[in-house]
Amino acid sequence: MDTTIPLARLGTLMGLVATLALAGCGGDDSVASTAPAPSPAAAPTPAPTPAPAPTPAPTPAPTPAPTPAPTPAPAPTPAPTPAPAPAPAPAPAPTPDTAFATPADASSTAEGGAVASYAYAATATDQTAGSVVYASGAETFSATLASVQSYAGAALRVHAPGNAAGGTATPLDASGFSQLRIHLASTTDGTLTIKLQPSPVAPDGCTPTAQAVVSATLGEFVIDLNDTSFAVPSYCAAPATTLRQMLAGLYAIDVINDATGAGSHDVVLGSVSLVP
Amino acid sequence: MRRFITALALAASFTSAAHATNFFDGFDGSGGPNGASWQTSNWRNGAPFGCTFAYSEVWLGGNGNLTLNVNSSVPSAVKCAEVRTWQSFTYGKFVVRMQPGTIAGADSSFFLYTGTAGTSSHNEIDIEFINGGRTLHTNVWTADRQNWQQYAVSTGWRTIGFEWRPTYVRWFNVSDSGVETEFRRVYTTISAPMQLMLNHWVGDNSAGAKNFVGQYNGGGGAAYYDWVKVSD
Repeated sequence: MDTTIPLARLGTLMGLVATLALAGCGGDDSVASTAPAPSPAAAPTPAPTPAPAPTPAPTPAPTPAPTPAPTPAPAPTPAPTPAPAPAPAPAPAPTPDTAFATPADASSTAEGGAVASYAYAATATDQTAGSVVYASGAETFSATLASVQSYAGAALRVHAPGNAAGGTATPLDASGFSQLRIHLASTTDGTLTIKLQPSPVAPDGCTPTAQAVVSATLGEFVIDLNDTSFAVPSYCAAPATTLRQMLAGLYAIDVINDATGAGSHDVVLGSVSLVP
Repeated sequence: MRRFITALALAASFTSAAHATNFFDGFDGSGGPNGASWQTSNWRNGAPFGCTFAYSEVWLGGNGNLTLNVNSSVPSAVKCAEVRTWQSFTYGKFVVRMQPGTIAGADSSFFLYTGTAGTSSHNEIDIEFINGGRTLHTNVWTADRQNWQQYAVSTGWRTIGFEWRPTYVRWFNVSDSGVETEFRRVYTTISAPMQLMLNHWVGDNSAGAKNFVGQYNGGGGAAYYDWVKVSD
């Protein structure tokens, strides 16, 4: 019997959590100098091969001694029926989400925010971007690469409520929210990147970023608004502001398909809301 | 002669370290998992695990699923579940259809493992659902050096897997129509045979546990596994 694995798993986790605490949403010991070496597992104590405990023989229940019939007690005077207790106050309903962006058409949300798109590639002339298409409550944007790129992206950007195209930026204070609820899909690729954008937006992508594993069917993702889920990409300098500070001025949310292979790559984005 | 062949077959099935055989378990039937294929854990790992692996929390539900349960009926003695193949594998595609658990502060997983953590013998390839089943943690440990990445995921049933080859590991989703979509690839060299493991456990709310699987606030529930498949 292998007795090393349980304790070895412990060591795995100890090393892992140490790295998680320091490194955000991804890590590679071979390149992340800040990631500590995993804590070695304690010397394993061999766990004995566990034999199922024998089922004990049932203990027979003792035969009860006959109990003399009790003397009937006088019937008690019925107590007055208490006044009905007031109905308990209903549990407070969960605080509903705050809508951030509900697609209304190809260029705007129900909350008055603009919907935009952008695309980029190492060889821009090898990329052909389409138009944003609205259908069934979701926006779709795709771009086609004529050749494999070293980097590329096709992205949708939904702005905070009230931020119509061409207007003055009025970021939303989202610092009091704990989670982002977002509906995503891609019919062409398996992952999408989500970026929280301040005003002005971070053109280099150095802003809190999460990744989602998606399918071709629109799915709901509830992502914690914390440094573990939304880390600044490793290629960026250490951020000057905390995530909470950045959330206090949330201007837009980008969803990017950064696949680099030749062919079409799309992003499908449904409603976005903030969870208290 | 027949007895000799049987002995050979048994030895091969329990100690095989060759290239992946075509292994499949649809978890049909009821009672415990097939003991010829799976070893069920029945011990406590210690911190940061906040529960004790127990035979009682592993069963076939009669509906074609393996249940790995977290039982919190005694809050001070939470029980949880783990199985691993007797057989070890070298390379192949490892795919599971599962419904991860949704307990905050828990981890439901599908992974390969060998060796002792903290030593160069430690190799591991992970799919772990943490944070209430809303975060997918992928990791590969090569000679005790890890390379991990986390993703937001939707909850519910999914088919997911990884492919382990001599020079790389890649993770992929499988759609309902059977189409694989790769979402991560790491170039690494692991050759040591590894056992396939599934578990469902809660953290002990130590700082390390909370940083990984999140805060456990009590409560129980199950992770379900419809099938696992290993192929060359």
